[in-house]
Amino acid sequence: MIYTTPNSGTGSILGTSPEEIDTPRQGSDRFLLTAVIVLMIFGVLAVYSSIAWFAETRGTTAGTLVTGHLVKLAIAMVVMLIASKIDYHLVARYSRAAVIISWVLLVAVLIYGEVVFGARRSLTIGGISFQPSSVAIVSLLVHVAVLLHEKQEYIKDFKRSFLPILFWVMPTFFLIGMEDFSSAVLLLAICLILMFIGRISTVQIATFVLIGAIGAGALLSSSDERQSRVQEYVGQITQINSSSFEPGAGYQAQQSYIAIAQGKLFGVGIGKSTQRDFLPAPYNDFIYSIIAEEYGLAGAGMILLLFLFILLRGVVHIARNAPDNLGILLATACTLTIALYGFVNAAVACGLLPVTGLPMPFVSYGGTSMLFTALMVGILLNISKHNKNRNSTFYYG
Amino acid sequence: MNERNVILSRMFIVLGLILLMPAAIVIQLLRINVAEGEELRQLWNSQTIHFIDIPAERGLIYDRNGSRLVTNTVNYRVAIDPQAPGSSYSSFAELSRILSRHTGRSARHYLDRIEQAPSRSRYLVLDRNVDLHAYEEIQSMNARGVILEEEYRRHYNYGPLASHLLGFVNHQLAGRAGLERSYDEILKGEDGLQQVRRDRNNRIFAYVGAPRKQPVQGHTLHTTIDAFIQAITEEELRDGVGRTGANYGTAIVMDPATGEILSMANWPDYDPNRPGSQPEENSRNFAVADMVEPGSTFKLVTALAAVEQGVVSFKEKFETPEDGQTVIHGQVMRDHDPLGTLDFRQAIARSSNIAVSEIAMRLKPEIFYQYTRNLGFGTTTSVDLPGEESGRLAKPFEWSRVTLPWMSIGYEVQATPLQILQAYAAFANGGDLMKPYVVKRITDEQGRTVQLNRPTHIRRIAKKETIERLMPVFEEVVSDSGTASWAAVEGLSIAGKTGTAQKFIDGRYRNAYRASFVGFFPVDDPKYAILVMLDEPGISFYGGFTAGSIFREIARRIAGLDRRIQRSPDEEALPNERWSHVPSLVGLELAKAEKLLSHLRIDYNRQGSGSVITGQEPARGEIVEAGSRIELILGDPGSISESGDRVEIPDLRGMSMRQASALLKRIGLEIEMIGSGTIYTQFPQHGEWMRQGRSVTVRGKITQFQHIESVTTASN
Repeated sequence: MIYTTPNSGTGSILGTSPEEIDTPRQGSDRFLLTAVIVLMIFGVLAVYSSIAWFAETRGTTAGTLVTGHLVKLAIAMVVMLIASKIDYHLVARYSRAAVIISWVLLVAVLIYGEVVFGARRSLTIGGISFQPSSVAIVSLLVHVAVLLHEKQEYIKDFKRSFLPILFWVMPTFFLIGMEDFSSAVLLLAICLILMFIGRISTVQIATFVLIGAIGAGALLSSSDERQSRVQEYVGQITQINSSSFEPGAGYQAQQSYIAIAQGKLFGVGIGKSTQRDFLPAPYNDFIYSIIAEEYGLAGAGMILLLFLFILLRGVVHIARNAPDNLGILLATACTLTIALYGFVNAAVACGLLPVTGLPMPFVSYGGTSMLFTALMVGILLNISKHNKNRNSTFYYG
Repeated sequence: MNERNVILSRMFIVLGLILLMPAAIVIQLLRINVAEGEELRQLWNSQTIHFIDIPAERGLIYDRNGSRLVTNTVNYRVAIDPQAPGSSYSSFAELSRILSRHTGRSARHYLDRIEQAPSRSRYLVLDRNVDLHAYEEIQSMNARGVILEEEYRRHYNYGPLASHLLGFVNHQLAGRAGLERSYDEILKGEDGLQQVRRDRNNRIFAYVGAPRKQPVQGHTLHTTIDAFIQAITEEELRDGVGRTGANYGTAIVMDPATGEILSMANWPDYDPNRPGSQPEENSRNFAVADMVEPGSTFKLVTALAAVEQGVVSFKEKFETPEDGQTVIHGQVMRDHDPLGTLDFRQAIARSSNIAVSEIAMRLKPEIFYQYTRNLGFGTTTSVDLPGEESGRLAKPFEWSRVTLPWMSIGYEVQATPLQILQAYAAFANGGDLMKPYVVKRITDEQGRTVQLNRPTHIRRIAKKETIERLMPVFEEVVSDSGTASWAAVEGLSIAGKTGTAQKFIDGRYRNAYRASFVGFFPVDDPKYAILVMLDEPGISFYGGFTAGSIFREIARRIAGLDRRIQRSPDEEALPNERWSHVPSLVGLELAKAEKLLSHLRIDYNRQGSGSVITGQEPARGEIVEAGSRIELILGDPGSISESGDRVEIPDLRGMSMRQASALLKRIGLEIEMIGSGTIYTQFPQHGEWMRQGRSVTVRGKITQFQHIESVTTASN
């Protein structure tokens, strides 16, 4: 039912009609879209359950905030739809300009930005508040894919390939890193992975990573506070047994463990979380813990499966069948970003990674992550329409 | 297409590596859930589950007639947290308006407090005493940052009434004095527990099905206190202390048959609703906590011992020295006045120290000591009130040669007022020493009796015949010839004893006295034993006059309440429209007598001539109907009995203060007035002889006022 074909002429709302599409004669990937929508439903439930205290501090009600969340989800769906209509080759043409604009915005946010949760991240233009970092992430990843695609003929050349790409990556990395270090590191990692996939010399990337690691190590050892945070993290991974935690240190991880343990196999039930009162930002950073508490291992595993599905669908189906290298790289970039954000968030909730503050795409409360992930899904959907191997799909079956 | 294949293969390498992440997460999830699950869930319990107290309601206290003396109230305290998230100045302004509507303070008053609060304050009390209506209205505002707290308080319904018996509680509702203290364990009950969930901001959530333990409510005390008698006792004691200028006073009323304490009062008193607002001394219960040398009231012990041991005969005469003093083993013993020759009855009735100590010295110290112990001296009465003293009674081997004579008249021994009253109650009921007590019955929440305190018989104090023989002796004390004529109530048979003890301060007897009177009535079947004690009364140190008059007022009013006590109505009745007492007119000028008689609507016939009335028929005090005639005998002023510089005191009762003053002045006496209006008592009594220049104390009351008072007494 939901797999409408573009040629039938009776496309659904999100479907495409043959007249609108240039080269591809194919609908977008409904499996991917379904996974995203299921994640969003989980997200709405978990946010509604966990946002009450935050709502109280804002002098409003959970219902109001969840309504806002639903509105943002609707906007995300529209963004997704629009992005899926724009040919990715067209997007690629404007990537350079987009990155430059994003730099301007990132500089602007450092100067004029509003403070949200202690960091200057948000910018209000014409009454609409948004975080330029999301725009920057999308435009940079698109541009890196475009650059890799363009430089395939001399891709092993350090000066003509590696350095120019790095020239575009580093300003964004530093500008985002000023206020949101975790996002910046994740972005850099994705860019490097993308470069690896785009046939950049492994030696060059490894050298760069090595230098970066040494630099990071030096940075860590230079400050006691950073060292203690590392030690805390090591302790958090090696000892789940919470009695060995010092009070204060590891509090968040401890509370998250308790939430997960409390959930057992099938959870305590919808809206019955108690750990939401103890976890910081349970509607955002620790939303995975709330899901694990309310829906148990089953729910937590379901979320993992959904992201795994998006990852496999994006890589194995959409990227592999993309008509050109640009499509492969762009699809991989988008898929990896979404999946990695999801996995990192879950890993933080499980205490595998230090607390980063990264949202879980489509699940966490907050409009900005929604915006750039929606853009990426839109791009993915567009690439999926250009499926090279028609016979490999059952759209025509 | 080689490029594409390389890209795809690299892509799958990356995919394979990234798949390690969900694998690691799944392993970690299982590890947390299975391997560490139990401990973590235990931790959840300890941080989320809490128990809070459900306060038990403190027990109530009733008087013997079922009047509720002590209750519990709840007050609401309104505070704000200006830093609370979501709070706004406009909601605080609204709160101030609601408060001002209910408390009568201006909204500005509250707003000023809010504005002037330190900027970092998180808890600012706006009002401590808010009623339920305001509480509900504020609660319906549902504003953020408003803190409403319940505050349980103890309310003493009649303020200072019985304050020394009831005691008071501290701010945590723990009993600090009186019954509140001695029965604290019983009154407070046992708090219950409620399991709640608590979040990291320490906010509490009750939830359905949470385990709870119901509180055991405090038990209720049903006391022997009679609120009417207590009120009378307090009122008369207060008046008496004020009138006599005493430092303080104490009065106790007891049922002699059972030992039930009907009232216990101290003046100055305090309001247990605000125990901190009066000096701490005011909350001291002198009735049980004050150890004093009893003085002449202790002569009861001597009388009992002497009569029962047969060392004294009622016919025996005792010669007391001319100057009223004698020397015993080198120490001077004085009588208050030279008393001349006395028999045993008079020795007690007129309270002769010399005669009584002479009798006591015929007894062995051990025997005397035994009687003292038997009457309850030297040990606590075990009354159920806190802070009781045992008094001080030396054992015979510790005595000096003068201990026995002095102890026989109430010195060298210390007793609490309650001990003295207990001894007299035993004497009154025919010889059974009863344990005094205040709480009769303790009931639980459902009104079931959990404890019943019955009268406790301690021991016999003497043979029945001894007591029967002595009863008329102590009755004579409260007669015109006794020391306590001031305690007499017309139509009521009262027995008792006065006491005037010099205070022993810093090793020496000073010119400061404790005056007391202890008595009981009616003598045939005593229903009430009353003790009144005053510390350093200013106007006169004689117990008969100061304490005795307080006793009389208490006794008169109690007798009026008790239907079991018969008094002849004409004795008690007061002048009114239809009939009146014939006033004493002897000594009055005719014009004044005419005026007085016309006021009382009595006609008269004159016999003889002269300006002053020298005789009358019928005599004063007789009752005549309005409009009837009496005979007046007139004569000269000189014919009124006068012998040298001593004059006979006329009967002043029924006269106005002005008449009495004029009459006394004419015969050379001074007047000391207490109260105003018609005189109804005087001291010394009429018929006694007194040197000119001395003063007669009269006590008057406005007739109208007495009417009103009797009405209120009845409606009590």
